[in-house]
Amino acid sequence: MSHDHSEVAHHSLGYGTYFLVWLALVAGTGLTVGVAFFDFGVLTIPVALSIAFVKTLLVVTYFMHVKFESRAILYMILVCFVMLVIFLGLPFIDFYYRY
Amino acid sequence: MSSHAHALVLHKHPSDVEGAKIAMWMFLFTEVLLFGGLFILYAIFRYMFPLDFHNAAAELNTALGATNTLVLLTSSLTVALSIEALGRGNRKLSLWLLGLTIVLAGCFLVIKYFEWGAKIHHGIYPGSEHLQTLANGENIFFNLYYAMTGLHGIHVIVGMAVLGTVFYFIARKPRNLETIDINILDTIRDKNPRLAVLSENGSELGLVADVDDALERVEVKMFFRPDPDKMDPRNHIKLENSGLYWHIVDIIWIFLFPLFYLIT
Repeated sequence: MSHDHSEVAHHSLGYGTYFLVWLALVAGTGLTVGVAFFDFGVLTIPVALSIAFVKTLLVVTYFMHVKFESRAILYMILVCFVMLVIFLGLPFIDFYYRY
Repeated sequence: MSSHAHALVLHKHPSDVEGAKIAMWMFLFTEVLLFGGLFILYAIFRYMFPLDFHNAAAELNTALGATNTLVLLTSSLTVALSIEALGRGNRKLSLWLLGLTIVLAGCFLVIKYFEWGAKIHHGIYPGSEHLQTLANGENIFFNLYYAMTGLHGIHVIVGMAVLGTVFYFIARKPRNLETIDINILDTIRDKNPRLAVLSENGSELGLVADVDDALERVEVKMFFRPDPDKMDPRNHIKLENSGLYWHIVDIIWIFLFPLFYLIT
């Protein structure tokens, strides 16, 4: 029991850190809405996706605690991300050159 | 005594926290791929009908979408804090925050209900006559909108159920009914030789000190009174894993919101 507790305490973040991450996420949402009023032309989607990606990084790193997880989970997530990029990218490239 | 029993419980059901987390992450990867497929559809159709998507997105209520984004982000915060509180042994705070998370999830669905309701009221729903009169791309946009936010909504409902179940696990009185394989008679003799031994029908047979070793079986009723602030350590990983699921639901919405509401 005491062993369990020390382990949890070791991985612990302060409550305040979570609030700061939340503030950053809210700011990110404001930014997403804000940039929607400007026309970036072909960059519109990359800009929106970049903000969403940064928000996702914050959620995964702090809220989902990956910062404190073992390397195994971190590498699994990276592999999944690369696979996702391939799965999303290849069909789109295929489509782009076909039509 | 109770702490001794607790050690036995842990020993009997070895918990593999790391394994449980890895399994949860693997499931989350399948969720990401599930939505990933729909995002491919979205990307290709948006590439084909940029103008129609642009026009159709103007119909969506950005204020409600933004409100729902904030609601989900806040619920992600409360579930993260709930896990933190449980890790620190603050069971009551953890339960409050978890309850708040479920309430916020409910808020999200209520807002979604009004949003969808308004659209359906205007004749915009899959297969509606009004949709047939719109441009091809607009029709596809609204079908994708219903499919993707609908699938996301189902995930919100599942998330509420999962979080609710873990709430029950944490909130219920700890049950430590375990068979403890110790020589209970010797222990009792040492501790309190003046305890009475009762027969099955309740009549007194004598003092425990007088019972000889020829006795074959002793039935002992033990009542554990666990400290309400000490919880089953297995609850922590249950809450952590359901929290992971909830964060994925949040992340999917982080992408859905700009792609559907903010492309006008």
